[in-house]
Amino acid sequence: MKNRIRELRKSKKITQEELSKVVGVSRQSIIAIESGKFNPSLELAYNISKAFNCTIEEVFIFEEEGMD
Amino acid sequence: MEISIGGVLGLYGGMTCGILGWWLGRRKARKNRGLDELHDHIWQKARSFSWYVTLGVIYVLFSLIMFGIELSTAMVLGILLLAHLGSWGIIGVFLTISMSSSVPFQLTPVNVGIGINVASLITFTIISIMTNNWLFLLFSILPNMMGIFTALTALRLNRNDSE
Repeated sequence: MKNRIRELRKSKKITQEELSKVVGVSRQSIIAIESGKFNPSLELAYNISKAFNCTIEEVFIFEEEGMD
Repeated sequence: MEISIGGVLGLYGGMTCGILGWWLGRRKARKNRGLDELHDHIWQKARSFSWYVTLGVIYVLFSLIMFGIELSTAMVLGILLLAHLGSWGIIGVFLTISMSSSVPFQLTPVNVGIGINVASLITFTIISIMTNNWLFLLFSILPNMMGIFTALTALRLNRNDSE
């Protein structure tokens, strides 16, 4: 699953540390989510989206695999 | 019945140090919001992988017994405990570093080859030390050859591709 966290963070001039404090996770979690290595739970995805005043669909891009 | 003072100190001292280290680590991680869902994910995955390592070690120990090598219960349990807890810790640390690094780790044949070498050397060195018999190190020759062959073949193929 791709996401626009880095892009949104840069546009709002928020650091990874600041975002991690807002959503209550470690900075490592934000790094892992940004780089696509870890898919957050629905609750964390909602909290991240809320931090940017966006909906989950605006932040996370779900890519269906093998569906034509 | 004879009580081994060193054994008792090692067993309970090790357990106390382990629990203390685990508790201090968790306390420090909690301050940095480190006990989050990524932490749970990493350590659950590490525990899952460590069972595969333990399974491998059980097969190695069974093979040694089949080859006629005598192993005591304490020795076998010690090796299994070390393999299980050790691999859990090492894999957990590896996954933590991998998750926080910007360059993604790839399971290339070179990495697999190096992994086989390191794992076989550690396993047979531990067995050699615990059994006080260096001949166990000879068992690591075959997996080491396989690891070197895998890594070198991959390196040669990569070099040919780049030319």
